[in-house]
Parts: sequence; structure tokens; C-alpha cells
Amino acid sequence: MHKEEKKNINLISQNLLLGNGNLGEGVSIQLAKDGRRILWLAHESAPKNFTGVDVSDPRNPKVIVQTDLPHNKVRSNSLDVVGDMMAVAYQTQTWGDEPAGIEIFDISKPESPRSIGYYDCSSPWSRGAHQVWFVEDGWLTAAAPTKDFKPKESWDDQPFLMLDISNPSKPVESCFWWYPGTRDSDDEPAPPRHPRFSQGWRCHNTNVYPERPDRAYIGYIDGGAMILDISDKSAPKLVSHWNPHPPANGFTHTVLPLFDRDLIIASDECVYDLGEDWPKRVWVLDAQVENNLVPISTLPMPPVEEYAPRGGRFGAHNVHENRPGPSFRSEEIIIGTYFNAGVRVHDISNPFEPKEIAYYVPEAPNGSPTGSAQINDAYVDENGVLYAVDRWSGGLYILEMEI
Amino acid sequence: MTVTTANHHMIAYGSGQVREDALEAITAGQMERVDLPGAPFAVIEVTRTEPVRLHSIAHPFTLPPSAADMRHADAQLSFLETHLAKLCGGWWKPGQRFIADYFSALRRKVSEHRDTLADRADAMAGLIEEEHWAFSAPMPFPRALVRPAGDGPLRAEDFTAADFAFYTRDGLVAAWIDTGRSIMPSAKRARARLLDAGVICRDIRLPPAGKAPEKLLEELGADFVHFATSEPLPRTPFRGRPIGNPVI
Repeated sequence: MHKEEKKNINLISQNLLLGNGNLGEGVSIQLAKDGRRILWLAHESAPKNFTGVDVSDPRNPKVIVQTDLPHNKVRSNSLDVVGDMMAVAYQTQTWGDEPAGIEIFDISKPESPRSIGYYDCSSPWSRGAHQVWFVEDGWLTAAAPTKDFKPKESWDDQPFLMLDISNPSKPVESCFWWYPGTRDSDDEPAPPRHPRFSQGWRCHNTNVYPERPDRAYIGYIDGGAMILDISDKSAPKLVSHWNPHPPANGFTHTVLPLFDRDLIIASDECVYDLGEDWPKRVWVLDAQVENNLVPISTLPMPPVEEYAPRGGRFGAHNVHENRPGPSFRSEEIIIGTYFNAGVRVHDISNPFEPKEIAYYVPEAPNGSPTGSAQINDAYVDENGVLYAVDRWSGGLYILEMEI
Repeated sequence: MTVTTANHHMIAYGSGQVREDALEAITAGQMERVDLPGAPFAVIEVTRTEPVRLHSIAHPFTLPPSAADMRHADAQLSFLETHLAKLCGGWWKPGQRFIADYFSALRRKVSEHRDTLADRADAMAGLIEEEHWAFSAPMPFPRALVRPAGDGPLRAEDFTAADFAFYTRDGLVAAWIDTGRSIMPSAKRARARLLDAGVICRDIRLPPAGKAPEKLLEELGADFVHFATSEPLPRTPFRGRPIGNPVI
């Protein structure tokens, strides 16, 4: 077993979340009215839905609430918080199962989250929502279908969806877009499948920033990176499409715009163990011309020969997304998660030559079936405190960057 | 004059790095090897009482201007604006916007005082133009790495990054454009060190895009507002000169 590895990052504390240390891709902070800082975490798989952790003292995080899913064939995976409201995505293991949708919670009393709304997108062709992006009052976006969306290919089942939740008890579809050719009724042919690692043409992350409310930056799995013009919600338009798959091995996850620099960071998620789908990279794209994205570098990673055999996944996954709210925001420091290579920090001051400046790889947590840490997601708060989560059993790692 | 760390402020700018060979050259007294195209470097005496103005420094241009194109002050001003925008690097829109707003504000300020400046220029029989007074404005050093005067060795790690540096009658100024970005703990500590060394540290709020760039000069202070009237006669940085020397 490999020992903890670190450079310019120190562990402040770890919390195993009452033995449910399997966390997904939802990490968000609530600044509670009573002054506490509550970290909300989505679980990667059942039985738990989400966990709230009081991180007011990061040296001593305390679980204050942990909720259960209705059954083991659904997972929450993604959540986001604005003020005292939280949105949670539900994705089922198989098409046609339930609950498949997005649930809205009132978390004004963090110990007692109260469901106040639900968007149901279950259907015979739906697995529900994989991701939510909720950063401002009144609306959210998601990787999710409408109830009547029937894809040509079953895995193309999570298009871009925007909901008006100004009345959270009645979420209303306000914008919906799918890649032409992926809907059953489309005249266009279905886009080509990836020859080796076909995972579908559908959304993963669906980021819309207040700086550019007319744009959605979406990772479209095997479809690559896309930018939608959503200025007319009734008629969203694809304005930019960059797809390196193949030859790259698919699964574009996050498309992070750096508005002050005309750059985009796009990550591809590793989804196979032991380096089978290596390389999964984080790309730096020149976005000076929005409709012609050009890759200019990738973030350096440690050697595959050394890390792939450690077990589990090795490669890129998510990056900290500069979201509004109590969040770290930088256009030069990129913080990403790399499964068994932990959390890694890159300086892209010179985007042609990104440099790795910090990393933290915990030793394999007890109970991990991969025999390695599998750092799945990370969130950095406005004070620079880094929250990294393990996919299987390690729970929450609270870290301090020395950069 | 011998350059010493105790008696001179130093600013490496426009490249994001401090060249070790520049520091070695300063230590060896070989000042002609310090301020070079692509990696300019300014050395400012601590006793200086006047601002470092756009015309105060040599500006080692990577792409030198053609003399034929530089006959008039407006062309010279545009050339210098482009040069400083390039020193912001290709991926820093707030810095580039600061330079655009700054030069726009300088032009407006000259226009505001055109009649007064024209009277002064008349006396020089056509040798100068009103726009030449724009070069009296303080010099913005983009992507500045600042080492305030102080005892100790001359080491690259002792330079602190700022978005822009200026030297005004109030002294050395380190400035950061307020873009809402987070400040890393190391950067906070570096700013604290600058403050301890007597450097004025401040944030710059850019005016809304395309609106009232002259507000920028007001925000920056008196030396920026009154540059056009504070010098009896203007100068241009595009005059002929011998070997470059960064000591100001």
C-alpha cells in the first residue's frame, strides 16, 4: 500500500462520514444563518443520499445529518446549494426506474432538510439526472431528460435541461437541448459511437455562469466540449463544438470557462480501472474565437506506469469550477481530481506550459475495494480550504494549500 | 552611480519572471545588460521625487518602431499603447483592458487641456504636439515583479508579483485589478511584506466596459489626473538615445 504523498498541501482533517465514505460529484457549502459553515456531500451510490457536515472548524468536522435513498438502485451523485436551498440529482441504475429526477430541499434548518419540490423526469427511456448546476436563485441546469425525451441510443439519455425554480414546489422546464441526431424523432443520424470506449452523447456538467448568462458550457461525454447560446431559452443554439474523441478516449466531463483569459479548461473523466482508458486528460483550450476552440496544452500528470498499477482509476475527473458563492475563484490555479493520483493543483499562468505546483494523495482508505485512494471530486472555499472526497470509503479530506 | 538594493527599487515587468542574468548584471554594475527586449527591467532611485513617467524609461521594444511611422505624437502614443498591451501577455484581458482604458483616458485628458497645451506648443515652433504631453503620465509597469529598496541580497525570490506597478510622488505603488478572483495565502503574505516595506498597495476597479475611462485616472490619484499640466514641456520616449540604462 502506498503511503500518503504530498507537495504544498497538508491534511487538516479527515472524516469517514459514519462509515459511509463513498462520495460522488456533489460538494457544496452553505453559510447557515446561525453562522455555521455546512458542507453538503452527495454519495456516489446507495444506501446514503447526502450528508451534511459542519466544517465551521475544519480541524474538527462533524456530521450533522445523513439521509437515505429509497432503494439501492438509485444514487444521488450530484448536488448544489444556493442560500438555504439545495438541489439533488437522482439517477437510477436502469432505464424506467424511479425516482429519476431532481429534488429541491429547504436546508434552512441544516439538521432537518425538508423536501419542497421535485422534478420528475422518469420514463421508460430515462435514468433521471446525473448532475445539477445550481448557483443562483431561481434556476438550475442539469444533465437530465424531459419525460417525453426518447433517445435513439439508450446512453444518449441526458441532454441539457434548464429548470425555472422560482417556485421551487413547481419546477418548470425553461430550456431544453439535445445534440441533433440523438433524439428518436430526429432526422439526422445518431452521432458515431466511440470505437473503444463508447459511453454516449449526453451531458455531464452543464455550467452557466452569471458573467455569461447567455452561455452554457457543457461536457457532452463522447461528444466533447460544447458551448450553447441560451439567450433565447426557447431556441438554444450550439455555437461551439470541440471533440477530440477519438483519438482521445471519450467522456468529456467539465468545461470550465476562464472569462478573463479567453481560455477553457476541459476535463475528460477516467472511467476504467488500471489505466485501461489512459490517457484521460485536462485540456487547456484557446477560446479567443468562441466557435473555434483550439487545444494548446494539457495539464501534466504523474507517470501512468507508476500510478495505473496502484489500483482503481487513474486519470482526470473533475476540476474546481469557480462557481459563485463561498467558492475559490482563480483563472491561473486549476485544482483537479485524478482518482488514485489524488487532488492535484496546476498553475496555468503560462497556458502553453502548465506546471504542477501541489498535490495530495492519501494512502488507500480502509475498505476501499481498489486498494488505492480514489479522489472523486474537490471543492475549494473562498478561504482556500480544499475539500476532497473519496469515491469508495475515505470520505472527506479537508486540506490546506501552501501556495 | 552604483546601484544597490538599499537605495533602489527594482521592477521586472512584462514577462512574468525575474531574469537571473539581469540580477547578475546589476550586481556586476553592467547596467547595459539589464533592461532588454522581452524582459524589461526598471531600477528607481529611492530619492526620486518625481513620478516615473511614460517618457522616463527606455522601453526596449522587441519590434522597434519605424522612424517614418513615428513622426507624430498620436502614432507614438498608439505604438506605446500596443507595446504595453503586449507586455500584459496574450491571456490577460483585464490587464489589456486597463492599458486600453488608461491610454483612452490620457487622450481625453489631453483633449480637455488642448487649448492650454497648444499655446505652450506654439512656442516650440511645431516641434511638439499637444499629444506629446500624454507621455508625462505615470508609467504603468504591467505584470510587475517588485523588489522595494532594502538591505539584503538581490534574489529573484524576493520580488513580489503585482498586476501593475507605478512610481508616483507618493512612492512605489503596487496595484491589482479587482476581478473578484481569490487571493492565495502566499500572495496575501507577499502583499503584507510590500506594505511593511513602505510600498503603497491598492486594488484598481476598472470602470464599466466602454464607459468613462477618465474615472480611472481619478481613482489612481493626483499624479494621474494632473500629468498634462504638471510639466511645462513634454518629452517623448521615441527620441534618439544611446545605450539603454534602466536607472531612473
